[in-house]
Amino acid sequence: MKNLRLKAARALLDMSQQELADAVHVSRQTINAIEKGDYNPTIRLCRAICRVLGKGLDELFWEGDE
Amino acid sequence: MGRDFYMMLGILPGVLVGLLIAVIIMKNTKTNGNSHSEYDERQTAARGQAYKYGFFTFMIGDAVYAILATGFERLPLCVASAMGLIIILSVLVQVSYCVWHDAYFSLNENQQRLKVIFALTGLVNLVLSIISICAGEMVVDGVLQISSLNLFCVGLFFVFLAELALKYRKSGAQEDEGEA
Repeated sequence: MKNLRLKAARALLDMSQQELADAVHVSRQTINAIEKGDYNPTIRLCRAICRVLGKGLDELFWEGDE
Repeated sequence: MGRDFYMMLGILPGVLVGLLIAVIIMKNTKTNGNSHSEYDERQTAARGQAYKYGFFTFMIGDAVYAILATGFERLPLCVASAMGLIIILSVLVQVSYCVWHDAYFSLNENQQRLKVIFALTGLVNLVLSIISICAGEMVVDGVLQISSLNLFCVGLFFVFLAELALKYRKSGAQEDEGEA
């Protein structure tokens, strides 16, 4: 399932995939794979992404209300 | 002392020089001065899968060779060539999986420099292959000799670089899709 909330949160900060990838120290392809739903990140990476984007885990990665 | 002894003697410094070059390359292809490669969690997982496929390719290749060597009195390649071919095939499987899953290059890799080094290595092997063929050392009595490993290496680097080019083209087309 695509993670559109992550993509939207990133776009809100006007960040490219590469900038987010550099901030959390992963490859651009990994961010792309997460947004496309091809890769399930570990909780550690989820927290790092949330920290950079200023969001909570529920807001970006909880699938309940999607 | 036979020719084989001197050849074996020559292999040792060759291996040492190869190791030295590998260390120099590892140190000079990193963007942050580290000598070790840094991979993210997705890449690490993909590389684990790649090693698994490479390992099984080696096992299957080894078993096939054992069966053929038992069943046939004479094979068209010497033991060293056969082993080298199996290793190269295993490496190719591992490398290909990594390339197609964006897990070949680490986060701190100078990709362009590494590609140039691979192309040059392939070229050196091509020159050595041509020399072996011209000297008639590649095939002796219908059997591929150890010098055929150079030719196999040419094949490995050619396929690898072709895969990188294809992947780059495919990724380039998809890049804007997920961008902000």
